[in-house]
Amino acid sequence: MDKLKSTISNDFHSSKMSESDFKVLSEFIYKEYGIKMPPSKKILLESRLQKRLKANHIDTFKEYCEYVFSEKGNETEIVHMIDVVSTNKTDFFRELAHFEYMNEVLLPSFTSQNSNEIKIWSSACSSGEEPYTIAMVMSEYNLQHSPINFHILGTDISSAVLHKAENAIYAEDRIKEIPHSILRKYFLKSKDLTKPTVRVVSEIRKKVAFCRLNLMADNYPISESFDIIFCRNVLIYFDRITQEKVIGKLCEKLKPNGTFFLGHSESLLGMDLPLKNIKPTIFKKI
Amino acid sequence: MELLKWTDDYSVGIVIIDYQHKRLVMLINKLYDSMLEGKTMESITEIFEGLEDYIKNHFETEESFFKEFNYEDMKTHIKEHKVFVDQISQLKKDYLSGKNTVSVELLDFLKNWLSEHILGSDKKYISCFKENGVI
Repeated sequence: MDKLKSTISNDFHSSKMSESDFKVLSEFIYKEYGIKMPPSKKILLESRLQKRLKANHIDTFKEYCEYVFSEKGNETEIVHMIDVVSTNKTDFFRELAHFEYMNEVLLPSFTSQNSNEIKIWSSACSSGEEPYTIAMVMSEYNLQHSPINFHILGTDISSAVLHKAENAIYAEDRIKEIPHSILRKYFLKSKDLTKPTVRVVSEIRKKVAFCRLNLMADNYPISESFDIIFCRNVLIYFDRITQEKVIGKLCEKLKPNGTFFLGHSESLLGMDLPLKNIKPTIFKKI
Repeated sequence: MELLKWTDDYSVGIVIIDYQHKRLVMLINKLYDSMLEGKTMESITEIFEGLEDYIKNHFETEESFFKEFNYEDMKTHIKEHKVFVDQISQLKKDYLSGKNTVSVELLDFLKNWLSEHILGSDKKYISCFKENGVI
């Protein structure tokens, strides 16, 4: 009985985060990863980090803070902490500013240079929302300008998500934020009302090729070079040395003057890379 | 090669501040390496700007703690930060206008400032931070 009580109490036990521990963690998460953690998010942070305490067999947030900032924690725990803290959503039209920049600056510059072909790589494409969004942006642009032929490659380390990407079937709640004009043109609703899903139309699906790729691999089996590379919300999974290595390798596949998009909470600060910052999270290859 | 080597003497015993100080040491060493390797002006400028940004970030962290805990030496410390930020900004302007190169003197200035500031002014706030429960 006592054993059972203790198991139950352990399962329901959750550590409390002091104000000063919150201050340290929130300051760190914001300054290093750009994820804002105002005091109103204390409960959210406290609850999300409970599983990290449990995974590390740590009882208090004080000990957890000490661990995160220790040499071992620096190497292994920060990635998990940021993973838990960031929402990791891969919505359509996520971080809209990048697609606006494509539409308003990049594509017109292609048109003015009479370029009629563009190659784009979504390097950590997950279940396909990003490359399909890019294809929709390109199609919309082509409706109003002299068309640019486009090729999009989507890669990810996980075969399971790539399978989902190829199928291009999504739950209806994933498309809530998409404007109606886009929805009508590029998504088909399922007939089964009990399972409301949508599927990206074949005209968009066939513009994207998917293949499995581990960004940490020594060699990328991709022979072509790209005009635009998206590498968003993936760096948080790597330590800084690996981040620099991965971005350096992606840059080798970026054409001179090509554009590199980074996630809103990521930074290339202090890294030695052939990239010039144009706008926040937008870079040009130099 | 390392211009500045982190040792435990530099530790203020506040985890987030030590983390940021270590990053500053790393960035100063990176600037030093890029100079030794004869990197392009563009590349050095980017590292310089990265260092400048991180210094500002770090000062903001310290200052937000000062304000929260109403640290008694806050005014003097923030003034030191301001003087340093102005100096860095001037050094960057000089570098960009070609008046100055990233020289050993400049790096010595950064190195000395960081060591003296950590070992002097920063160590003074340890007790205040600890009293307020910061680890």
